[in-house]
Amino acid sequence: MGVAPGSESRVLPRAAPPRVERHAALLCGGCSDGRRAERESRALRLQSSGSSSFLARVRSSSALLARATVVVAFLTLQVVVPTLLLFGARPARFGWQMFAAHTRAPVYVVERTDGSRAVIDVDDYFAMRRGDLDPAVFARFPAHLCALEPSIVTVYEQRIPQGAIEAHACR
Amino acid sequence: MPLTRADTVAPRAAAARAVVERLLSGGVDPRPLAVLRLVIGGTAFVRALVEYGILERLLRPTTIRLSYVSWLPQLAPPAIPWLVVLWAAAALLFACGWWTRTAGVVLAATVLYVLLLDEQTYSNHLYLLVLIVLLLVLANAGAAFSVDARRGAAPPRAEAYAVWLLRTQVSATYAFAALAKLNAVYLSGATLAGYMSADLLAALPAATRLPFVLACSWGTIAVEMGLAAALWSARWRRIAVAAGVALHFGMVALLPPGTRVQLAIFAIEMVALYVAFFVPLPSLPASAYAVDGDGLYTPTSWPRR
Repeated sequence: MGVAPGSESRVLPRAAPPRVERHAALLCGGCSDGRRAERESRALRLQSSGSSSFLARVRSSSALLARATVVVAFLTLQVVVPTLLLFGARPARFGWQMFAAHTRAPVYVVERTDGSRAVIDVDDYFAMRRGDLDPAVFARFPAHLCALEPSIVTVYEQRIPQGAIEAHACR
Repeated sequence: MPLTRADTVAPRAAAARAVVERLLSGGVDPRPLAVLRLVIGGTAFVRALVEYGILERLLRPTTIRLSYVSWLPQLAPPAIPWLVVLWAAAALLFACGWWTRTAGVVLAATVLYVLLLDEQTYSNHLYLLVLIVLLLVLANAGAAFSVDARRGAAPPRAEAYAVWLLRTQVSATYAFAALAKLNAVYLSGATLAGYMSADLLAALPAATRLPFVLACSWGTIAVEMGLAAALWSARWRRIAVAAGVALHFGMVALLPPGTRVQLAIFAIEMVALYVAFFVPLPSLPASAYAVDGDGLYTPTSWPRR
């Protein structure tokens, strides 16, 4: 099926040459177990001599179908998913969009119950603030600060330099 | 009598089908993949040590949690060392080729768990690590230079289709990295300038900063796009390898010191994967390959072993 007549005999020689033994010994990893090398070479010889029927069995078996399924699944992960993600906002995960966008952290100032104000170092509150972090995660940051320190009454947020300042009141 | 369409299409379809069948059922020399397994296992081990610090910071009470998959069981602080030990042990076993398939699956599952645990623990090179390890498991990378091979526990060949998938993984990674950079902000140089080491930019004369950043930005796209295609060409492969090494070395050198370890791991993963392009695959017409006595496909133009 699918292989030109005669090509199989060219591709898979019926007689196993002495190389089989040499290779089996090589794959044995330099071990001195001659019996195992002989067992492997016998298996390879049998595989070569019955190649036509072996190929026919493989073709009809589910193993080939399973491999084809694996290939299709991997190609989907490798090609289809990143292609779809190209049409969305960057940076997207699982899309190989390394360094395609850079997320700048907003500037935060907290106001406490005593009226004092302090600039927050955002990195103190992140395990790993990656440059390609989804900008949407910063929407959760004021609530995190409020929950962490009951003395905070308001979190001021400036998303871009010289931009508008948003005030988030803690409840 | 003129040829009909069926006369020309049928043989081509049969030939294409034969090519696919050879790729799906063919075996290749396992030794290059064994080297790749050693490198990937080693980098996975080092990455486990890096991950310990990240997970420890993640579970501090002050750290914001950005759950990525809501139904995923969360990690308790006492579990961090155990998770890292599991990761590191699986990486070592995988590198040594001892229970290669089991170690590979455990390693991939552990890294995938960390990948999905939180938005801060995601990284593209961890995702790449998961895919490579799974492909090496499928490829039977424990068939040589391994404890499994010495015990005779692994069949003495690597799977051609998995090697082909390793190749497509490299190309997809570079191609989509380049395509994603084709946006106005990146092309203006602003994105890469945001990532670059501030000390390095400050050390440059003011007049050369913008041309330098633009050259790096546009050059990266060109090199990544070129690598995605050139690695498949026997003629361009060696040049592509040199360009790839230069690209990754440049990334490690240009970006801030805090990110260099992870970038170096990514660089090692990618460059090691180039090995897959040097393994001959049985996907060409049958006349171009012969099956050696050892059952492995070898180009007929190669000197016989």
